[in-house]
Amino acid sequence: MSRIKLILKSFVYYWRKNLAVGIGVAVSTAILTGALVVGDSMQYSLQRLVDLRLGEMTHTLNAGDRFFTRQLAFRMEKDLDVSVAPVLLLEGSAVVDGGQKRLPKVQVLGVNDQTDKVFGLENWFADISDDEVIISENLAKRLDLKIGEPVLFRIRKASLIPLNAPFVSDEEISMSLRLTVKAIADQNQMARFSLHNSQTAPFNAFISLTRLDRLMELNGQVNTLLIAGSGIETEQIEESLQNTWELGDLGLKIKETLNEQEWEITSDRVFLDDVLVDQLLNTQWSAEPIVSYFVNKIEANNVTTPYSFLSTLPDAECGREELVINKWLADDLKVDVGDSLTITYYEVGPLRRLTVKDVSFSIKSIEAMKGRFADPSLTPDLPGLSDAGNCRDWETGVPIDLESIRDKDEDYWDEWKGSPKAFVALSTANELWSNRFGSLTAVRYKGPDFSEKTFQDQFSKDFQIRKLGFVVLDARESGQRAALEGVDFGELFLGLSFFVLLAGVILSLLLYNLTIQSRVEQIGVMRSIGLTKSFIRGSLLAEIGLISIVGGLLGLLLTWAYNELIFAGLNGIWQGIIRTDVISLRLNPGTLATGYGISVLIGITGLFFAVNTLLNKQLAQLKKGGFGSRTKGFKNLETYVAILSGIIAIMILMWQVLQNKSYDPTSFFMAGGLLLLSLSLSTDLLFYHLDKSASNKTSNWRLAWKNAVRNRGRSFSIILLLALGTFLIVTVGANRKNPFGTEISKESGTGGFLFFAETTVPVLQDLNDQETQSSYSMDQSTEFVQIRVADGDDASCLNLHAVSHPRLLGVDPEFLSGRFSFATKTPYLDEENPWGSLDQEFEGNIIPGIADQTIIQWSLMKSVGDTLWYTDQLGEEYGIVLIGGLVSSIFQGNLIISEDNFIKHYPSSSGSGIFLVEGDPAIQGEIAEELNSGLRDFGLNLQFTPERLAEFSSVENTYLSIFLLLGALGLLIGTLGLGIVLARSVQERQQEIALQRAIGIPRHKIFTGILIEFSGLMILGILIGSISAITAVFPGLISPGSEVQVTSLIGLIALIILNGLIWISIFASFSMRKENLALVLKSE
Amino acid sequence: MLLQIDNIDKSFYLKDGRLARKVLNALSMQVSEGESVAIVGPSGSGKTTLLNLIALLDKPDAGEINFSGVSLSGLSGKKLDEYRNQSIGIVFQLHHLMPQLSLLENVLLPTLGAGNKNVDKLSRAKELLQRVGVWDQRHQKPGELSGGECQRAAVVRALISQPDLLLADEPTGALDEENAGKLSDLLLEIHKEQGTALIMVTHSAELAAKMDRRLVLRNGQLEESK
Repeated sequence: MSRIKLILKSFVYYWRKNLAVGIGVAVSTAILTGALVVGDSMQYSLQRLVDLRLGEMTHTLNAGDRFFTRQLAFRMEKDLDVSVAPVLLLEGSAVVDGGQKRLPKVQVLGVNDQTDKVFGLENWFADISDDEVIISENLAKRLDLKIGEPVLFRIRKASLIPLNAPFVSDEEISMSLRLTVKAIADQNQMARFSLHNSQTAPFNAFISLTRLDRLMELNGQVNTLLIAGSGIETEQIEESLQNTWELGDLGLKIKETLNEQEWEITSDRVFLDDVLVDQLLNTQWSAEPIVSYFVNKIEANNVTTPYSFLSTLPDAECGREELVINKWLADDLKVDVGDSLTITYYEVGPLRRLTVKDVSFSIKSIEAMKGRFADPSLTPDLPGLSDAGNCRDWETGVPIDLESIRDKDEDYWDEWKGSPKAFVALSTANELWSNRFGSLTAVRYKGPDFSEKTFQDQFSKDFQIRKLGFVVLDARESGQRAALEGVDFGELFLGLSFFVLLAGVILSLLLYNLTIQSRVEQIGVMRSIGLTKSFIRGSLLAEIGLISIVGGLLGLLLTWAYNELIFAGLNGIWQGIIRTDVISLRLNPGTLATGYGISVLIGITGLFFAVNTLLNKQLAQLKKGGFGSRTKGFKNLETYVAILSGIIAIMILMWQVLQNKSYDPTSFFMAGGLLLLSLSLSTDLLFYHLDKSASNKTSNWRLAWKNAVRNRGRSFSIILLLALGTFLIVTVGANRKNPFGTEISKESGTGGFLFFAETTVPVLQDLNDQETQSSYSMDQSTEFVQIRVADGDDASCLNLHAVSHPRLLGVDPEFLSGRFSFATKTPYLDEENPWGSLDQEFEGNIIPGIADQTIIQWSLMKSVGDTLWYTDQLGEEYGIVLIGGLVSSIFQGNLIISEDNFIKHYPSSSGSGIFLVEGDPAIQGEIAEELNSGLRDFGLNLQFTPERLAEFSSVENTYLSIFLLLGALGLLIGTLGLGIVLARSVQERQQEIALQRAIGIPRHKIFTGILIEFSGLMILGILIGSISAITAVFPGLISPGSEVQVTSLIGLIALIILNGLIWISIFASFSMRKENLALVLKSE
Repeated sequence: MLLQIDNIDKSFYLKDGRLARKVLNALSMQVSEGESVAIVGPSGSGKTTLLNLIALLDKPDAGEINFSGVSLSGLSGKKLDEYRNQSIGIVFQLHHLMPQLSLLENVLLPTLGAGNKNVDKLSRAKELLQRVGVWDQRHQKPGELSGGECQRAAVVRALISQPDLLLADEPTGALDEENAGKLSDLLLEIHKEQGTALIMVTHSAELAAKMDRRLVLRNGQLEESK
C-alpha cells in the first residue's frame, strides 16, 4: 500500500463524482479562458487593422482646410531621409448606372508613385492614368462595380480659399469626374486606408494626383503628407517641417507692385490670417497693411456707382469719417471734396446670411487716375471676379444685379480692372470688414534691401508654422494606442459572462463540497487510525486536484469550441457591435495558461478550504458523517446584515416615493440589490428556524421543507444562485430597448426631428431661407437645424477603438431649446435652458460641451464635469468641459459645442455638414424624396431619426442579448446544480426512502415530496430574484414611455420556472428509478 | 497501569449553547496491560462517548486521561496521530472500510500513517487475515463481501500496528448472531494471543461475561458489575 496507490485507487473508484467535478472545472475554465481569448483576439485584430489601414506609413501632416505645396514633401523627404508622399485627401460620392446607385462618404485620394513608397507597395498607385481609378473592394461590392466599368465621382470642391469667405463663389460646390475602374484593391492593397481610428472600413477611391489637382485647379497644392518614418520621432518631423516650409506652403505670394521698390504679400485665401498678420507687420521692412473690399454701391447726389472695390490708406492719410476717391468715381457721382457719400455693402454672416449695411463718409480728396488710385493689384485675387473678362461674367458669392451694371462700368473694368475707386482709413476698414477669415488682404513692403529670399529667410525663422494649424500626427502610434485602449472585449466578455462564470465556479465548489462530504466518514476513519491531517489533506488535494488539472485541460478544449461559437456570433448575428470582418480568433498560449491557471487555482483553493474545514472538525462528529453547523457568531452577523440591508432598501424606496420628483433609476437599482441580499439571508435564517421547529403534525409539505433545510448550506447556495441569476436576467431583459417604437417627441432621443442628415459636401447656405429652398426644388414645409462639423473620431458605440477626440458639432443652442433630455447634469447646466448653457463663458481657454451620457461614460471613460482637450485651427490648445450628458440620442458619437465657440476655434470652417430636419411625419416619405433629390449633389445621407437611434440601440441590445444568452446558460448551470444536489440528496436518503416505501408510503407521494422540496427551493430563489429585480427596474416599468414589456418579463420568469421544473422532474425520476428496498435496508 | 482515567466530565450542548445533557460525570477507571474490560449500559448512557474520549476522537470537559503514565490531555499534532496509529486500535459498529480499496489495502491503510515498513506489516497482515479467515478474499473490495467478512477485516486493520489497547464499540452490533458470536470469540482470542488490552462496549451480557471485568455505565459513572 502506498499513498500514490491510495490516490489513484480513489481517483478511479469515484470516477463518476470526479467526472462531474471535472466537467464543472472544465466549464468554468472554458468560460473564463474564453472571455480572455475574446479580448486577446479583438485586440490582436484591431492592432492588425492598424497595419491594414496605414501600410508602412507612420505619420501624417495636415493643416485643417489649408493646402500647401507638393514640394514641401520633397524638401522634408530630403531632410528626414524617409519616404514622404503628398496626397490630396478629399471626400465625395460615387454614382453608377446614371444615378440609380449612389454611395456618399467616399474617401477620394489623389495619389502617385510616392504614395506607393509610403505604403510599401510596388507600382500600384504609380500607374493610374488620368481616366482611371482604383477602388476599395467594399466600394466595388456596394456599387456592384467590376474592373473596366465606368463610375462617376462627385467630389467636394477643394479650394485654396475657404468656401465661406466673403465673395467666394459657391457655384461649384462639387466637381464631377468620370473614370474607369482600373483595379479593385483588397485589404493588402490599402483598401482599408483611413486616418480615423475605427474598425469600420471606409469606401476608398484612389485617383491620379495630377488629375485630381487639375480638376480642382490647385496648382500642385495638396492637403496631406503621408510619412513612412519608422523609428523617427514626431518632434523630428515637426522640426523638419519648421526648417523646410516656404511662403508658398502658407498660401502666401510675393509680387512687386506698380510702385518702385515696393512688394506686396497676399494670400491664396484672400484674407491674411490674423496670426500671420502679427508676424507680417513685425519685420525689418516698413510694412503697410491693406484691406480691399467689394461693395454693392457708392451713392451721392442720387447717383449710384454699382459694384466697386474699396481699399485703404494709412490712418495718417485719412480721417475716420473721410475717404479719398479717384477721379473716375468723382466724375461718375459728380461729387467734390467735402461732399458726403454713402457706401452700401454686404456683411457676410454664418451660412452666407447677408446683411446689407451702409456707411457715409465725407470726401477728403479726389485723386488722379494714377499710382495707387488706379492700381488693380490692390484687388485680391477672387476667382470668378478679379479674373472675369467683363462685369457681366462675374461669379461672386453675393447676389449681383446685372441690370444695374452700366456700360461705363464695363468700360472702367476694361481699362482699370478692379482698381479700387475709393479709399478709407485702415482702422475704419478693419472696423467694417474684419471677419473670421482675417482682417487684411495684403501687406506692402518698401525698402531697397527687400527681396523675396531675404524675406523668406527671415520670416521662416520667426514664424512658427504650427500656429496655422499644421499638425504632425503619429498615426500609427495613435492607432495602436486606440486599439489597445479601446473596448476591452476580454473585460467585456468577462462582464457579460459574469453570471455564467459565477454559476460555473459555484457549481464546481458545490461539486467539490459534495465530493468531500461523501468522504466525511472515510476521513473520520483515516483520522481515527492515526493518519495525519497533512497526509489526508495532501491525498485528497492530490486526488481532486488531479481532477481539476484534467478538467482544466478539458476546459481548454472547450475554450476553443466556446470561442468558435462566440466568433461565429460576432462575425454573424452579433456583427452589429463590431462592424468589421477582420476579427479572427487568436489563441495566445500565455492567455490560455492564465485562464487555465486561474480556474485551477480557484478550484484548488476552494477545495483546500473545504478539506481544511472538514479536518478541523472534531473526529467524533466526522465519524458520524456530520459536516457540522455554522457558528453562533456567523448566524448573528447574517441576521444583522439581513435586517440592515432590508431597512436600507426600504428607506431608499420610501425616500424615492416621498420626494415628489421623478424616480432615480440608480437608487431603485441599489434598493433592488440590497433587497436581494436581505431576502436571501432571511431565507437562510428562516431555514434555521424551520430546522429547529417542532410540530405534532406531519405532512408531505412539512416533510419536504424539513428535508430542504437539512443541509442549509446546499439549499442556500442553490437559492442564492437562482436568485442572482433571475435578478440579472430580469434586470437586463428589462433594459432592452425597442427604439423602433420611439416617438418623435422633443424630449426623446430624436429631439422631435424627423431626419438626421449628413452631406459629403458642406452646404454653405441657410436652408431655411425660402429662396435657397426653392433653388433646391424643395417646397415641403421643412425646417432645418444646420450644424457645423469639425473632423474627429466616431465616439459612438459603433467604434471599438479608444476615442479621445470625438467629432465636434457646432450648433446654435437656440435651435435645440426644449429638445432632448439630460441624464446627467453639472451645476454649469441651467435647469430651465440647458442648451443655452453652451453659450457660457469660462475662464482660461475652456468652453462648455454636451454629449450623450453613454459616450461620456463608456467611450470617453469620463464623467460630466471632466474636460477634453483639443487643438484648434490656430494651433491653440483649448478645453471642452462636459457640462451635461444626454439620454441616448441621435447625437451619439459627437460632442456638441455652441456655433459661436465653434467659429471662434475653427474660423475658416465652411458651411454645415449635418442637418436636423423637422417636418410632418405624415409626409415623411415625400420629404425624404424631396431632400434626396434636392441635395443630391451634396452627397446626402438621410437617416430617419428613430432608425438612427435603433442603429445605436441595436449595439446595446446585442450586448444585452449576449448577456442574456450567457445569463440563461448560467441559469441552466444553476438548475443543473439544483439537479445534482437533488440527485445527491436522494442518494443520501436512499435508506429513508426505502423505509418509507417499506412502511407502505406510495412511490408517487415520495416523488411528490421531492418535487415539492426542490421546486420550493427553486421557486423561492426565483421569487427572491424577481422581487428584487422588479424593484430595481421599477422606474422603467412605470414611466409613461416605458419600453419594458411587462408581459414579456412575466413570460421570462415563467420560462425560467418551467425550465427548472422540467430539470427537477427529470433528475427526481432518474434518481428514483432504481428501487431495491431489500438491499438498501440491509445496509442499514 | 495502561490506562488511567480520573474524574472526567463530558456534556453535550444544543446549538443555541444550552446544556442538552451531561453524559459523563466525574468518571474514573483503570485498565491494566493485557486486561479485557466490557462496558455495558443502556442506550444513550455514554458508552461510545467514553470510547471516543479514550481514542481522543473527542475531548473531555474536565478530568484526566493517562496512557502508560503519559497524560493524553496535552497530546496534539504528530504525538496524537502516533497515539492513534501505534498505541490503540479501534473497531467500530460498522466496518467503515474504504470501498475503493481491497481488504488487504484497507488493512494496510494505517501503515501509511507512521512510517511503518510495508514489508513487515504485510506479513503481519497476512498472518492476521489468515487468522480471521479472510486471506483468500484479500483482493476483493468491501462491496463484494459480507458484513461479517468486512468486520473481520476491520478488526485486522485495528490490530495491524500491534496496539497496546484495542477499543471495540459494539463490533458485533451490525452482524447476525452466528457472525457476531464468531467475531467476539475471535476478538477475545486475538486479545489473549497478542496480549492486547481490550475495552469493548457491548449490549451482550454473554459476551461481557467472557471479559476479565464488566463495568456498567450509569448516570455518567462506571460501576463494577458482579
